[in-house]
Amino acid sequence: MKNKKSILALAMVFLAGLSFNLKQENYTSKTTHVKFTSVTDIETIEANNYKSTASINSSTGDIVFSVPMQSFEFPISLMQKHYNSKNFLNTKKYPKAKLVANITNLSDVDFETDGTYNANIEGKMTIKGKTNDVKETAAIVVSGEAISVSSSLDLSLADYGVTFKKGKPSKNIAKDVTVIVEAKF
Amino acid sequence: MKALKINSVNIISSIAILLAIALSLFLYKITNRRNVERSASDYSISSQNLVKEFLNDYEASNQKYLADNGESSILTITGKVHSIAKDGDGKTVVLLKEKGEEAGVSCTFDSEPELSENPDKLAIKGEIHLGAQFDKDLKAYEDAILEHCTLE
Repeated sequence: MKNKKSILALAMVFLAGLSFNLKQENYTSKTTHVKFTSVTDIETIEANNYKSTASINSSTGDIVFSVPMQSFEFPISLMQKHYNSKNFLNTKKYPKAKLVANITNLSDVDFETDGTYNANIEGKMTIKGKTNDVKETAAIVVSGEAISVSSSLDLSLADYGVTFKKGKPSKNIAKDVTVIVEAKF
Repeated sequence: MKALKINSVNIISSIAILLAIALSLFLYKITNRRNVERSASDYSISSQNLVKEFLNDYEASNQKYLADNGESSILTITGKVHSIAKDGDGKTVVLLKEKGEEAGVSCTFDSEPELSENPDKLAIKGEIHLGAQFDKDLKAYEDAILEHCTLE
């Protein structure tokens, strides 16, 4: 009888351990928002994209945002056509942008406990086939089963081969733009 | 002399009206995107075959379906309803995907579609913005993306 109880206790400990190991580590989300903002004295241009796919791995700290470039919506049709064209983002040839980063202070983020955590992220941003290093902070909010990630990145368009030497775009589009990424897991 | 003056006024008025119409059309064209619902489909294809085309040759499929100015091909897609969800903008997204397939076609509606309670198969028209592909960083297949969708 005593042996049976011991075996049962051992089995319970084993199952508890198993369920802990089976806890989800990799989260994928399509509830995302990527916003591009360009500010000049002449005008502020904003474009929104709700079609990205994001993933976060709570054990490795890996974060990925895959952004379909033709899904950015501009307020004016002509702006959208210019943005997609060969001289600007060339979205036919480069239909996706990608942020692949890692949380460098993963020990400061507790995915098991509700709270807001400041994560330092480092990685690579690829736009129009050009890849550059990025280093930013991200806010990670854990609330029950839900996790949300948001970050704001300042990008120089020239780093990604987007330059305007003359004409209206050179005055109306900022050299440095802000890209906000958000995902709810 | 009076008749000549009236004629001149009429001609100038007509030109002014024509210019106003042309300007209105120009302003409408640069500010409004094309109406996908009222446009004819460039291709009609099953979700399974569209996914297969992109997975077989992503570059060639981008050349075939995507446009330089972002007004890419308008497709009518038929397929099995895999799931219905809302995106981050609160819009309805219907995923057409056959059982056992690696990827499907994600169709986003600008206005709420009138769907039956448990739709099995649907034909949906929309503008393609991305093809299906395996993404090595996400370690998963990405669905093809259609937006500005309407039921056919």
